[in-house]
Amino acid sequence: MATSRARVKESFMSRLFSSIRAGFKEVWSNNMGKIGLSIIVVIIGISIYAVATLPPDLPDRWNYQFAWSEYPKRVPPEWIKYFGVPIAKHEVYEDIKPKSYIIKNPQQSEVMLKYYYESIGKKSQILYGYIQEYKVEYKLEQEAFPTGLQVFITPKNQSYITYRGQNITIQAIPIILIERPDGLIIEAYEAPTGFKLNELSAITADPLTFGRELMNYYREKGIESNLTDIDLKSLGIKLAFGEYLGGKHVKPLTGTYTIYLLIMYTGAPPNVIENAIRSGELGIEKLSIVVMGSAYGLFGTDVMGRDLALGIFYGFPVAVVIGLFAAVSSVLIGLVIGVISGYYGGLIDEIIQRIIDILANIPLLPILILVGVAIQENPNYGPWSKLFIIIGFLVILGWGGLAIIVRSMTLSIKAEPYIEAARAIGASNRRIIFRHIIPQIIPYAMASLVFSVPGAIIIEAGLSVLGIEHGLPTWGKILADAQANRGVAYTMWWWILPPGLMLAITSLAFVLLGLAIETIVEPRLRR
Amino acid sequence: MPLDKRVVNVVVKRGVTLTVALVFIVLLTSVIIGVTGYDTKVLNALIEQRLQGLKQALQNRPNPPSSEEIAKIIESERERLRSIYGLDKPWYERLIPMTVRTFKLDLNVTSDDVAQIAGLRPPVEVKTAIGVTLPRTVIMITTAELLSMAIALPLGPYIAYKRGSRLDKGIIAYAALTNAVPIWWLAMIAIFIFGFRLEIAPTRYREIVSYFGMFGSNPLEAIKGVLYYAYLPILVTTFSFLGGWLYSVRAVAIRVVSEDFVVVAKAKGLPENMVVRKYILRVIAGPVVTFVILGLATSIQGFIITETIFDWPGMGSLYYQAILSADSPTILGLTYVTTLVYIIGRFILEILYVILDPRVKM
Repeated sequence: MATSRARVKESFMSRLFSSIRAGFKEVWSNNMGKIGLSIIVVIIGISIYAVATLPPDLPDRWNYQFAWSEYPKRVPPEWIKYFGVPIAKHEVYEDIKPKSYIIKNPQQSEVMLKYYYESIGKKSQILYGYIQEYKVEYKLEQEAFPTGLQVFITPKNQSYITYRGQNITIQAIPIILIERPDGLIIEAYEAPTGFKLNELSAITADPLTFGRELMNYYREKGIESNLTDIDLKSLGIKLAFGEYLGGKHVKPLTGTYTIYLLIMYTGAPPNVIENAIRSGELGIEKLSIVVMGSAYGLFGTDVMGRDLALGIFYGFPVAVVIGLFAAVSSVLIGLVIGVISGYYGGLIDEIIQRIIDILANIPLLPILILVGVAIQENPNYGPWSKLFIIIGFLVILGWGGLAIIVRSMTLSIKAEPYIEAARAIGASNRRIIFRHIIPQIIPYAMASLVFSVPGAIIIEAGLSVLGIEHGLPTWGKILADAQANRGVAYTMWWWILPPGLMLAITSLAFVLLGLAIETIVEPRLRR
Repeated sequence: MPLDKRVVNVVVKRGVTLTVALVFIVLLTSVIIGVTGYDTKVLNALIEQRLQGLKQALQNRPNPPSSEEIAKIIESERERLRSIYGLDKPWYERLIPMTVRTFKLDLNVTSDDVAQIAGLRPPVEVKTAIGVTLPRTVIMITTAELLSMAIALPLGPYIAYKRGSRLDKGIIAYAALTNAVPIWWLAMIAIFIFGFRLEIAPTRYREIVSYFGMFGSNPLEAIKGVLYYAYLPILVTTFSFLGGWLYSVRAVAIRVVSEDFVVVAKAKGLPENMVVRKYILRVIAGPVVTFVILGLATSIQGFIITETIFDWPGMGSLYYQAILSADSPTILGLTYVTTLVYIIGRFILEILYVILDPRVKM
């Protein structure tokens, strides 16, 4: 008994596999099937790559604004340069080794000092004491403006040193200088007063600091300028990386820029500070200078500076999981219930048919929205469980259609003479169902499975667009953010087009595969 | 008369089933609202907000009552509000009366946000809000549905007749494309291109409301305004619906095209037009009527996401806003009305089947 059951199982599995293999061959011989399958293989490859390489904390970071401060905001993808649009590269300089000086005499002729005193800026401070200088070079190769210049500083916790038995707070004054390709040195930022050392954080090149002085400079050169502070602010960083042409016109100035960050420490005698910094007692833990580019990455950034490429890539595995889970489970349920309903008939059949009747009349989207909104605020669920609750409802409401088809197929197969013959020689119901009925239905179930994948993916994305969030960065979520920032987002094609295209391509691949399978299982459609 | 008896039998049976489905769906909606308790949360917050206002008003009086008195007044007001919103009873006790009232459409007033979608000054009855938004959805979605039908019904059989031609392949590709591209994303792209880039269409569609009110005083201006706001949504929706329509009509027609009588008609040398009209269209009329009725019935549901993207003040947006502001009377009312329309559509279909096709048995 046991061996015969094993044999039935084995032959069932091997039949299943051989029919799947034959199916693949037939699908591959169909053009639509070939395209669909190829795209699906690529999508699955990208999904695996994304899971393997993307940082696991991405979902947490995605909605956290400060995680994206080092990224340029609202810039298009970098590859637009291949279409003739000039771009300014985005550069992040980290691990810069500073040079240190002790300046006792303000007139002392150091290179750095020369820069400071020759720069056009308001020079509210006189450099004196212990100074660290960070220097980087930025090449502006194409005629475009960077969108910002920022320095991110993480100081060590401690801000005082013990000197002669007293705790003295050390203050730090950061200054940004830019030496331009035309030889001009501008002061892009100068702290008005000292910060407590441990309170240093991000500083941004300030157009008011350099703008007014630059205007004076150009005026002396004979270029008319009557820009107000508001104009200066709106021109912003362009003035630092461009040549002023009068009016409100600035032209990008290509070439090599040298950017200096000076940090002047005061509060204690310079050599005491120097020793404290050398010994690692206090000072800078981490520092990065960022020239915000006018383009970024493969998919650009959104209004928060989020690298859309990360979201797009993360969207692949999520979409695959949503689509496959929803499709496989609703098809399995539909298959099992349909066969039961058709094979056993009677009261069971009647009950199942009435349930399907009711399910078919339930408005799907409102119920899903209702469920989504209801669980959204619940802190007991993580992002993945929220997602699966929503898909679960989709499955519960979605198996009816297939069950009806499977039932009617089962009914017609059941009436075939060979079923009667099988029953006459004593085959069990189980054997008849698994050997004679299900193998015939599987091709249809496969077509239905493939067809229901895009539906699930699109419905999930649509729910996200309505603002029903599970918290994972997905294509729908990116589009939802675009919809929430309507006014801005609709000027940025790279925010709206790619996520939708990904959705469309993924769905299309499954639709094509489904059409291919359909022409195989329904030969009348073939030509 | 055996036929009449059969028809009555079927009609009664289907009527009962569909009514049970309707009751079940309304009940299910109330259960989801009740079990998850999200309306209670929102309503409690609303009550607390009102009480806070009351407290401040009391304290700002010229001679304010003592703090104990204030607490007492607040407490009694809270009880009053809780009983108004039905929060003094557990959700399952609210369930049956709520369902009964839903069926009579004797529902409360909507929340203010929902009233805003309707474009009316609160308080607005749920009935009124639905009545006001329904024609707007009809203007957008039902019009698009009708347009798609008008194109697909004559074109579908023709494509089936020319099966395998370049036109046929193109239509299949188009259908696959519209099946894959979510209609709401198409709407986003359309707004992006026609609204923001080319500036030949509005970017926000809520303003259409003001033109609806104008029909009495200045009909010409009103029609112009409505057309200006409606043309892009209707075009986008039609573009998206048409693919599915063409594909379904073609699929039905293909089964007929290879039937013997069509081949004979062709062999007789009848003109193409006549074959399509007389031999194909007539036979596929039955299934096509199914599509038409069900399509029209579901179009009433509004397309929540698409309407939201366009900010189109129809039933879809009303639904969405009601869900966001946990306005359970409106949610129930809308679920009831849309399901009712759908179920009536199904019911008419079932009767038509029985009358038209004697093979259908129960």
